[in-house]
Amino acid sequence: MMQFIIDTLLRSGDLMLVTLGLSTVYALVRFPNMAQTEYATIGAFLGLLLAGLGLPLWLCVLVSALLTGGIAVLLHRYAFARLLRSSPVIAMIGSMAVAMIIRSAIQAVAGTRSQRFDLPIDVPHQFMGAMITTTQIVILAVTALVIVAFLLLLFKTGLGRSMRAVAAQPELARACGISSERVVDIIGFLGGAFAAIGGTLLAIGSQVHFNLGQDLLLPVFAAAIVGGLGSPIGAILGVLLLAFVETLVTNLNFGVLTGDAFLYVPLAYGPAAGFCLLVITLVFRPRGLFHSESKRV
Amino acid sequence: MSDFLLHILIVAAIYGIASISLNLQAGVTGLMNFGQIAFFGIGGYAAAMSSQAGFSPPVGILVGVVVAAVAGALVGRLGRNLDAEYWAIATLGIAEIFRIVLINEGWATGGAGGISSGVRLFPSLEGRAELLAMLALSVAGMLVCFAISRRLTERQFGRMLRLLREQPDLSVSFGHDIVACKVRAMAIGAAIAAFGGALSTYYIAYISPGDLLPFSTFLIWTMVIVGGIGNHKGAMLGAFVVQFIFVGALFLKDLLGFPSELAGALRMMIVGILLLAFLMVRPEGAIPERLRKIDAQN
Repeated sequence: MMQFIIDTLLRSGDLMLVTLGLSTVYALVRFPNMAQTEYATIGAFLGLLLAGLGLPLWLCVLVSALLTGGIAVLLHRYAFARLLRSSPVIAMIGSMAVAMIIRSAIQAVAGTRSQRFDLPIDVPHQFMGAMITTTQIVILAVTALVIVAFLLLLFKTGLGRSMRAVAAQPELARACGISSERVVDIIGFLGGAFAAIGGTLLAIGSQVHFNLGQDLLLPVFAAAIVGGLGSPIGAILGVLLLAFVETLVTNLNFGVLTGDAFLYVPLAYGPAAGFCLLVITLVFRPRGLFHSESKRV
Repeated sequence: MSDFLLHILIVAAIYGIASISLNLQAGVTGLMNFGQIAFFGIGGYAAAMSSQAGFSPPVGILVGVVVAAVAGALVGRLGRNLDAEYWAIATLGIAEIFRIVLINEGWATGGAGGISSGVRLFPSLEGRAELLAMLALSVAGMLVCFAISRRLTERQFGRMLRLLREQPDLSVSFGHDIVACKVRAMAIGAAIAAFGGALSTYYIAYISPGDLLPFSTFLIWTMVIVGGIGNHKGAMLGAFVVQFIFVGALFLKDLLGFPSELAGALRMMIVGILLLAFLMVRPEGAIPERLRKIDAQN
């Protein structure tokens, strides 16, 4: 049972920061940025590059987050903002093109082999009958820390209030003297930085290769959509729900239903379970579970 | 004409069919289908599986087209209330579910290794003659799909689809059954894509889940955008342009002395840059959609 909870949390940790970034950015720019998961790949490989230069691990994460955040802001200003003038759909297809360019550039530079940080081998701890390594505990702790810090920023500061105002009513926010460009820049930066932290943590916990962004694309979008695109709280809950369903489906013994002693769903169907959750959610809630049109900020 | 050029043209014509099908859904109707490759795959797998079971190509093609049309109608029905971006991600997810099922149900589909079709379309022809016959068939197939799409969209049905794309609320207020429009556009588009998929499988004699990655859908999208979204002729043009650039990347790789493992990256980068350049500079594509002005007085 404990192992099940830990597996769910670890899977959530893989997706959490990227999804949070995606959904928060969507709230402001109103198009789903399909390059968002590629920022995780950029961040992971920047982190690996910096570690190769001999920087301590925490500094690698920090610097890669700052750089990736900067890249995200530049891409938004010079590509997506221009495409958005045509239509959100054009911007979405454009983000797909940007994702293809980033992915192929990383493949050309870093090659197709998986890479990992050069860390000492970690002995798993026994924790209430479940296994977890120190690295995994640190990864979950960092993820939780970033989430808490972001929620405090969003709900306890003036900056967070302006962000929520621009998300809810862009015209009204502008009329109140809030510079929406500045808010979009800051959130775009945070979205890129979060993705980079998520990607680097993935590389620390296991390994990464150039296709990371493509592998993350659907689970991350599924979680964000199930939670309701544009809602940070929804994104967090969506990730937890998606990870829960994926872990549940591959761990449940369906033998009881058919009368067999053991009947497990093959592990490869884990992701499919997540996408089924996405489709079923959309059938009943076309805009996700936690979508709400306008609210008081 | 060399055999290689014939091969490129055959593949381009088959892509042209896929491109026409996506243009009908995304270009004319505005349905952001990011899982089009799954319908192509339904046609391909129907062809391979039915030929393994001993059926002839016409049966295989018919099975693929019918199954894909039903699947397309189901997807259109399921997604009837979705906004464009949700529709895009949902179809991407459905296509991935389809691919995961193909990989894991190896007893029927050959699993990750794929499945071969033992049947040849022209068993009496050999070598060059077989290639020429295949080229004639795929180009004829593409032109038939083009004619069908054009006939459909020049009638009232096409006007309803375009109105649905531009002004869905107005469309409802006119009393159009927009769910039926979406379902029909999806079903027809899926059937055309499946026809292309079946031709492809009979031609290459093989299909695998590796052919159905999301990148393939993005490639079809690039064709539609480059050619001119909403224009059937543009869709065909885009398929040929993208196919020639795709092949050209191979030669460019040799010219630049790139190692072969980078060929994939180079191709993807060129397609990405092409798509982005068109979206930023000429989002209406090479041959823009022509909307006929209708005189309100008459």
